[in-house]
Amino acid sequence: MQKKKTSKKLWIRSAVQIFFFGLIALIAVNHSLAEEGRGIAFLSSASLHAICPFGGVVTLYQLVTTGTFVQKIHESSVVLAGLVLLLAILFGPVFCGWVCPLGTVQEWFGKLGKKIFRKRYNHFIPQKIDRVLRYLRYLVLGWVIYMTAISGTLIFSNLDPYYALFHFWTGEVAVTGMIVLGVTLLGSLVVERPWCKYACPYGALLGVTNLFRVFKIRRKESSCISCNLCSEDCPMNIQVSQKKVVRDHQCISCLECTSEAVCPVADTVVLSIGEK
Amino acid sequence: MKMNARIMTIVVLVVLFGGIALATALGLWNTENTRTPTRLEKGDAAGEYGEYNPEDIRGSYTFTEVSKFFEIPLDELRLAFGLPEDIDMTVFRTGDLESLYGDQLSEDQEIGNGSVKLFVALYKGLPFPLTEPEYLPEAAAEILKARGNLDDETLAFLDQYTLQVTAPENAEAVEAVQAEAEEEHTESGSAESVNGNTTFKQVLDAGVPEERIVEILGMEMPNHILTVKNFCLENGLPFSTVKGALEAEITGE
Repeated sequence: MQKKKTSKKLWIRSAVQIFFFGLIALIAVNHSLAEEGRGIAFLSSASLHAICPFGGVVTLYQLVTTGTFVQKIHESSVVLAGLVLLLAILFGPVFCGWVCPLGTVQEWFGKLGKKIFRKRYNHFIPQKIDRVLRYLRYLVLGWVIYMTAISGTLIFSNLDPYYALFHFWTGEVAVTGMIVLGVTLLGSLVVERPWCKYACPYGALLGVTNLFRVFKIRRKESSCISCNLCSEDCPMNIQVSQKKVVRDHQCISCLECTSEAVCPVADTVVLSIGEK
Repeated sequence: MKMNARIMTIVVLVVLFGGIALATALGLWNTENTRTPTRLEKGDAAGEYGEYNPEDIRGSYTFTEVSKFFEIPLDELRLAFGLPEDIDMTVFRTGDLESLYGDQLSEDQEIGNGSVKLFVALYKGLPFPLTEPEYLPEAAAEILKARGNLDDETLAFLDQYTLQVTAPENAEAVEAVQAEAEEEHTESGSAESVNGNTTFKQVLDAGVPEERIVEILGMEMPNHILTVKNFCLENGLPFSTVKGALEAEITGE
């Protein structure tokens, strides 16, 4: 058995998260500048709606039934939705764990929460309640798709913390959106990724791919030393140490449980296709 | 087969950015509404088939875009609508005209995007329905008359709907007038306008009965999630007329 000397966070994931957060923030700022005629030429000035893959999901009904897009949504959103779905079929909701800037911000707030609450962090909500709350995001998904379909407007943008995060300086954000963002960020101080766990409609949709994704997270029982670090470090509180294959609908493919990160034994928790 | 984080990162980046590059190459990567007006179709006007349709000038078009699409010198547009020399025509939109003349207009008068449509159509000799009141500043009417291609009916229409107005003298004053209008709009909480983004659902929600919408359109009730503007364009209806009629229903005038 080959045991690693130290376990560590995946630096490459942090780098990718910072890159996408910076990219989206720059595009959002450039969009505001472009509206004033001061946009930066080499950078995209697309609206946030145009580069949000969830827009491609909520417009599908209208696209199929009338051949048009929901207000403020464009072809780019549908293209992105397709690409993210392809990635999810391969690796699960890797978009949530590696790309989504709202998830990244929640993790940054979570780091502060971990310093404050230490071991109690991410374990405040009783398991019974938590388990039920985890299905709330499917209700949100159903509501958003239904309301968008019957109204032809982006109903969700008034509640969307992602939109609020990158537009708070514009005066275009509804009060409800700012409240949801505030609650999400404050909640991140006690629970890791509360929006992703309990309310994100896009996470709900992508989470379904965990049931049939091509590359799955697998735990090799023969080399596992039952240290439980994989379960303890999982931001979504999945009991990885009790599973051979992670098929939990909440997995965000962050790979923090794997032998590349927290698992101290090499080749024991891995992302793989097939048994090995 | 095992997949490590580095390889997965490369796959993620290649799929996302490669996919965007491919979509761009195929012409599928559009991040904004097409800003090109529709073109006149056969039967709209003899000899004008294929020209950009002035009726499709949107309030979000800048004066520079109007100048480019319809090949009208920018200075001519500036003069027609009394815009100050220092105003940035690449930013100032035709819809911004609505707040420009402030309290010089009575409640039933407006100089806005509709005025630009009328001016462009007459300037280019393109078809435009002279059925609804559409006001122009005096300078615009003078430019059109000087081109000498208007018939008697159009001249009479211009005489009836020409207004003597004075625009703010510089860009700073324009901004001040716009800020004031914006403030008034916010205070009044107005939700009475129909614009390019308004859906039939929103019109229904504003209290206009379905039968009345059917009557205005002269067609069966469209899918509620369609925008009024798209429906009009696809069915050859004059958006300005439909918009005016729906707004009148909403305000109860």
